[in-house]
Amino acid sequence: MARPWGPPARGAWGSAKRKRRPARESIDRNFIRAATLRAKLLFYSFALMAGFLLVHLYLIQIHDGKALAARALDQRLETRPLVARRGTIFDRDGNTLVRSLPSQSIYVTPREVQDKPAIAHTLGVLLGTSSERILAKLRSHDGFVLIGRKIDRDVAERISKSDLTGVSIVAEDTGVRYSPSPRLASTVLGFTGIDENGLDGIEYAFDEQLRGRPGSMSLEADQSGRALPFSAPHVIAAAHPGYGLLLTLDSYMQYNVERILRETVRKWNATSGSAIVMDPWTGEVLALANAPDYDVSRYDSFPADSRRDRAVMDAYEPGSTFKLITAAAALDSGKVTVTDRFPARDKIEVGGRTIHNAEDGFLAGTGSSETLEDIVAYSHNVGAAEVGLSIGRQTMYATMRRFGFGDVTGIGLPGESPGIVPTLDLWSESSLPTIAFGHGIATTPLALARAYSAIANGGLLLRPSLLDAVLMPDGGAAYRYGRQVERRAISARTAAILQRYLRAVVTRGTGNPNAQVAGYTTAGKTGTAQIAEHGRYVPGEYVASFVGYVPAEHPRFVILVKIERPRGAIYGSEVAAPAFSAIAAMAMLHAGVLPATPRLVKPVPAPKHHP
Amino acid sequence: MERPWYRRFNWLLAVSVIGLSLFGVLIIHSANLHNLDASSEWRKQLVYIAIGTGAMAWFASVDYRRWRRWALHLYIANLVMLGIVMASGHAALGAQRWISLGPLGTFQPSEPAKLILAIVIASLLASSTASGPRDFALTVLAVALPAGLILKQPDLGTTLVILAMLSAQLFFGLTKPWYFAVYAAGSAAVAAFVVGTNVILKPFQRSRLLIFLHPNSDLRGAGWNLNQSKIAVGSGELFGKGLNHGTQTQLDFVPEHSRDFIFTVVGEELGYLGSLGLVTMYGLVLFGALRAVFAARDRFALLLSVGIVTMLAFHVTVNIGMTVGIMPITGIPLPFMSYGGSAIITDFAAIGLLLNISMQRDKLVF
Repeated sequence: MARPWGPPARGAWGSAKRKRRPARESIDRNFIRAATLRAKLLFYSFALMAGFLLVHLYLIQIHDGKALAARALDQRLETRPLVARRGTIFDRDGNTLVRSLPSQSIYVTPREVQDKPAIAHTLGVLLGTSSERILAKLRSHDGFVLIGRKIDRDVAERISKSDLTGVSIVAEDTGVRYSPSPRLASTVLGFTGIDENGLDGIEYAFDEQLRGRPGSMSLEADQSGRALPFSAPHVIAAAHPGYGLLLTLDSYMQYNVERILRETVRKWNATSGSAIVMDPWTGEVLALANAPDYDVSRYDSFPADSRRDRAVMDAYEPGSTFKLITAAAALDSGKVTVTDRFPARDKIEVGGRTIHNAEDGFLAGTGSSETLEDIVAYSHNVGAAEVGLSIGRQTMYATMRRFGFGDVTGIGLPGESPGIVPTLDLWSESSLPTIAFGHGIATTPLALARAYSAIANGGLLLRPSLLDAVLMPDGGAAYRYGRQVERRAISARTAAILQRYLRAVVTRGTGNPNAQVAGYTTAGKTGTAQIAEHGRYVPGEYVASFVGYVPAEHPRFVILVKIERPRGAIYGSEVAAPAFSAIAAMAMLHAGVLPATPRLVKPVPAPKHHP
Repeated sequence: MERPWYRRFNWLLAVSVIGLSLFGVLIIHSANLHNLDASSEWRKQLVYIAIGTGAMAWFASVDYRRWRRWALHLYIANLVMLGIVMASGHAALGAQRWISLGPLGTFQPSEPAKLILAIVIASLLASSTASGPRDFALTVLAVALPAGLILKQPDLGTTLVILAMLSAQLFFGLTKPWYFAVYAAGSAAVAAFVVGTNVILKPFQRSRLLIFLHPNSDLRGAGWNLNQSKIAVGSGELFGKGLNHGTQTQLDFVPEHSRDFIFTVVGEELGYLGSLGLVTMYGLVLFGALRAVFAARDRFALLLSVGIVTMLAFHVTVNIGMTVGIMPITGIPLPFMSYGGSAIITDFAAIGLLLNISMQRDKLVF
């Protein structure tokens, strides 16, 4: 009996011992038919599976191919911003005040880091941060993780030298704002944040110009987001570097003004101070100093109060320096002439208030009379009040407004105060006589310096400028600022008279001798103002100031010095005038003007020659 | 009357697998272009192909009936190797699928296990003219032990290959169709239990198995491989990006691109035309392999050839299917293409067996 499809003769497993080949089995035709049918079924099922696969491959590769190819590209093409280099800030001579330097940031590819705790510890020590925080980042599932942004150059160098696997340093050609002298003009220049975003001062005010326009590039990156070495990045849009700024500041003058101001503040133990040097003919600010100041590279370690640009942001009651505005109003309106005399008094009652002259050695006494020039020269409050009362509030108010008080100067620095000039309807009976000697109104030092520039230049009120030009990245000027005349504040004749008065202050009045400068002629006005807090004058607290110009005949520099809350002396003549004269001498020498009466140096006798 | 061997030889099958494996070397080379660690894989694969071709020639020349006699010994040897893997895997505190051969590299017993089980199942089912419940039970028990060991490794893909093989062989071996119907219903129930619970499968295996049903559910986790391989294959479009110019595969978006996911390289670099060509080549291989099924002149030969053909077809379908998202990601290699010595040598040996069975046709006299 044949055993079709059957087993070998013995056992289910066959037999290894059996050496004989099994007998050839004959075939059951029915079984063959059944097997063939099933084999055909198998064949068709394979064909079906192949067809199924091919249909799906068609769907993916042809039908969805475009979309998936786009996704693939999108996945490996990473668009990265190209950071635009921030513009440089120059002083008027083209010296760099602030510029941007390349920066390095450190990234890790967690996947590639083997010994995570050890690497975290090493990085923690090098970067001076918590290694736990780094370890947490190393354990993240992200492809590429930022560990340290814009790290110090030497730290970056040490990390790159230690050649840690999975740790990479990415360099950018901008990113760190660098100032060669980080305290110079700090309150004017301001500072930037970690993104080189301007946060204060010029950096903030002109951020849009400095910032530039970032571009973008695309590069092929692998699954971890690392750029591939063999793929060339494609620049989609080039970054446009920011514009440079050419300031009107003069580094040398700025430095010296800051030095003199700082010394003065320290000498009188004052709380703060400001000083301005301005070109009266153009309105250019050549130096603008505040004390205290700060270091722009470590701005966050200074109190916000130290970073204030007081000369622009803080309005104060100017006191006697404002008498020139009263005089201008009186003369320009024609209501007072140079020869008009006012009764000399040291005390006057107006609107329930008593006004005194200052006990500074220039009391008016009683019984005589004085001219407007005397009132200015000796800084008589009572006289100024009488002048004010004689010209009327309309004239006084209009003149103040023509001098720009109550408006921002438009210099363009952030947070500029317009000062406080109450509108006429708010004036009380005592307002006019009080404003006449500089109380009851407030102005910023900058606005006052501008008003004195108008007096010095013959009557034109200018817009003070800090920006000379906006520069293209290649250094060419994109825009140049010219002199901007706001309006005529007073007539040239009035200005000339006021100049005579200011000269008199220095030659025979309160500015004598402290505001004098050997070899140069100066003119100016002292100011000693009380400080109001919560609507009341604080006894014993004063602002001592001096505003003037040099030389007296053809003014080149208008100089303002304001010292707040000096100790030991309070008068502008004593506290601020010496600083004024030091700045004036410095400025004139720097401008190349030699003193008219140079110190004589004994000529050295020529050596005798014996032929 | 017997024709000379070269007239009876199944040239289609032999030549197509050698051609396929050499094509695979090209693809492995391309896949590893930017992977320095694996830059020597294509050379090693050439060596494996040479060894495999030798094995194929030897198996083709040895009468297939010999394997029936050796079935029990092969089965025991297979269990021992799987036991060693389990023991050393246990020692290594983790998944392990291979045995170290020292300087010769590693050996993966689950690969020959597939072939050995094909022989074992065939010989068990061939033991009676009409296999009934007793043969069925014995066969299932005999398969369950090694399959369980392989699943434990864990190597889900190979386990599934073995189950597919078993099913096909039962389909041919169980004479009464309703026996097979009972088997099919029973295995469906078991499959539902396995896939539906965490009892047998580890959670990661389950999520990988089922992710293809919800391909966008977990793009960063279990869905990552599937999504990325789809993107890679799809981005090849009609003509592909050109050999050696694949991006998604070479940039590591697709994992294991010289091994389980090697098809993505073909799809990406050679496009739909390349995929079509490759599927056609597998079609030729399977067509050649089916010749052995039709040539089989005894139950053992029939069942063995059915097992091997099913093994190959299952590998190809599941592997390509998983890269296009219609099959679960099980981690089985693409025969003759994926890098790996154990697999390719086993595959060549299996083809050798089929070649031998193919040559039996003329020997039979009716």
